[in-house]
Amino acid sequence: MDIVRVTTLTKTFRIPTDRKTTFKDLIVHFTSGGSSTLTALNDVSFSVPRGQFFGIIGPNGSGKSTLLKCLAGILVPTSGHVKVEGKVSPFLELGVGFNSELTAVENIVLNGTILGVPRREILKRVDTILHFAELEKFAQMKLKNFSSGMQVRLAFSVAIQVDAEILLMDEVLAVGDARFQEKSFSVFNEFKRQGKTIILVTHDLTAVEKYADRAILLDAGKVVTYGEPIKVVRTYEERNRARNGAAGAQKSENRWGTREVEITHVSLLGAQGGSHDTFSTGESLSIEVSYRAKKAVPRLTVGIALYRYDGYYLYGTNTEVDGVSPTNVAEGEYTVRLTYLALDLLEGIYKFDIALYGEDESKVYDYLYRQYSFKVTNATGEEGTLRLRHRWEFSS
Amino acid sequence: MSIRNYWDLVRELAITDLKLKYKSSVLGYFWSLAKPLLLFTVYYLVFAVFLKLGRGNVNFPQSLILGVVLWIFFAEATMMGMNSLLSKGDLIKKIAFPRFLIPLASSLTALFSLLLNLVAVFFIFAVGGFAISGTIYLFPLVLLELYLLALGLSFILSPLYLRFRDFAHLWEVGLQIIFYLSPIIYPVALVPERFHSLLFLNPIAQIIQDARLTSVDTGTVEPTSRLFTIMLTIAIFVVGLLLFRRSAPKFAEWI
Repeated sequence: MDIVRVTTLTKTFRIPTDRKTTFKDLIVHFTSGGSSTLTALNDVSFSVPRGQFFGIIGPNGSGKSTLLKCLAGILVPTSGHVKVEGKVSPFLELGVGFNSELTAVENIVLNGTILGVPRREILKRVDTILHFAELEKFAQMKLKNFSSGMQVRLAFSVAIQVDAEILLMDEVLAVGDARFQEKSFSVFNEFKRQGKTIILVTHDLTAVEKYADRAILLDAGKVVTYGEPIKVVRTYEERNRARNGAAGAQKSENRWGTREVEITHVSLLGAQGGSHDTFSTGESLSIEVSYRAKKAVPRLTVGIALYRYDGYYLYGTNTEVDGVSPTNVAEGEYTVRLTYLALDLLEGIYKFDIALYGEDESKVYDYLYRQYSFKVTNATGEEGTLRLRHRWEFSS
Repeated sequence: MSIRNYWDLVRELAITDLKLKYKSSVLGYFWSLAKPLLLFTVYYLVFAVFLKLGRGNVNFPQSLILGVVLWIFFAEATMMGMNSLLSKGDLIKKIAFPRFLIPLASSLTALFSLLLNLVAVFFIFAVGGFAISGTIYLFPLVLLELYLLALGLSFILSPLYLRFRDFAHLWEVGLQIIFYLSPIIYPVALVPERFHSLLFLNPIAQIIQDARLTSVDTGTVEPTSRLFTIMLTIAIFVVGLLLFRRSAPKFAEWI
């Protein structure tokens, strides 16, 4: 069941080339028509099922925040419809209405009330909020003496008190330290468990891959793609790559090497050989790399390194270590396939690097840095990152 | 949002405004009392002592201070009300809640100062042993009329001010004109009789004179257009509310 349905939503703004905020402007420029129209959202349609974590990504100025404002009811669509079946959180940013001259407690009450939490409720929850924000000792301190990290923690802790079925969040995760971010996500997971719907605008692609059930990619006010987060994120990354490539950047941060031997294609294959990006724990996974040798090379080493979503290095091997490096590679096109017989990884997003080397690791032909990822799903209830093959034995 | 939430929010906004207004000043809210007293002293000196405008009117000082206090409320309430949406721009751009709560909260802040000032004024009357009018029970109704007028004007002025910043200057001049066309620093008795019906077309003239009649009883001149002022006040309030409601969805874009 869809809790949010957006149909052919278009939002245009009149951009004053010279803004008429005084009579003089209005009178002087009345006939010259000094305003142009900016289309922030152009025929956007999508829906969000109840209880999902929904990610909105896209470059700056793509209309993400405008979309969120239309969902919140802050902006009125120029045409099209926004249908929301439930109570929407009324805010998109944290700490709006915070006042630096007031104390932490005064700000909690003020901010909570602005967000629509009954005053009586918020007064009851002041201690809980301070505790969650880890600011108990600073209850009576003025906000202006807080560090920005403390302010964000306070703001977040108030915001999660809002009783809404749909939570809208604009870039809330870009702030706070890693530990507090983890804490925030555990709150989101708890919300999800309670059947709440979370709509998040972010630049943090990893967070979208890791937590979102669905995502949408916007560019210039239009929907580019919509669906599986991992696919949407990949499309976004490819577009960025294409854009960077177009700028003539051979030495991209994500790829380097002499390109004497060049990777031309990468695909992920499951046990049945079909191309995938989602696997279950224990399945087999093959990474197939096509490459072109532009000239003959005496020796070629292929390496693949596996990382957890947060960059933790899990496993790496190469043809040299395994003693299978081809020698005297002639000019031409080749394919190499690495198969992990059983993917003993638990639920999460994993990324990998692919490298083509010469005789030693200092001679890099082509290195693709974290450009590919896949998702592992697992419903067994095991926890952690790795599955260790195991057995239990009871004895008395 | 329920009515209960509305009230919570209005109260919180108004209290915060009050807190912030007086927080970093040493004398706190005594300033809101000091201001009318200072003005009263100057006006009294100039108009009653130097120019002898209050000649033959025993209640002139009471009339004067009451007029000054009510005028300060009207000027502050409408100026603050006009500015209220712009000053809460951040909230409007980022949080969805009923916009009319903002000018409402701002008007309540001004009303609170007025009530404090009136307590002080009546305390002075009591200490000075001045006679209080027998129709004092009607005085709150006159206050209500003044409050609704100020709030209605805030509903009209605040969206206009978002759109055109000229209104800051326009309303300032407008307030000056209304001030001199109202019997605040001069008694109505000094105005030639044939101008009375014109004078009382100004709702502030009417309201201030009514406030005097129902409290300190200057007893001299009955306002001539009470019904007209009441209807005008209601009309301004209703039209203001309707205009405000119509333009509210656009506020986030105007800021």
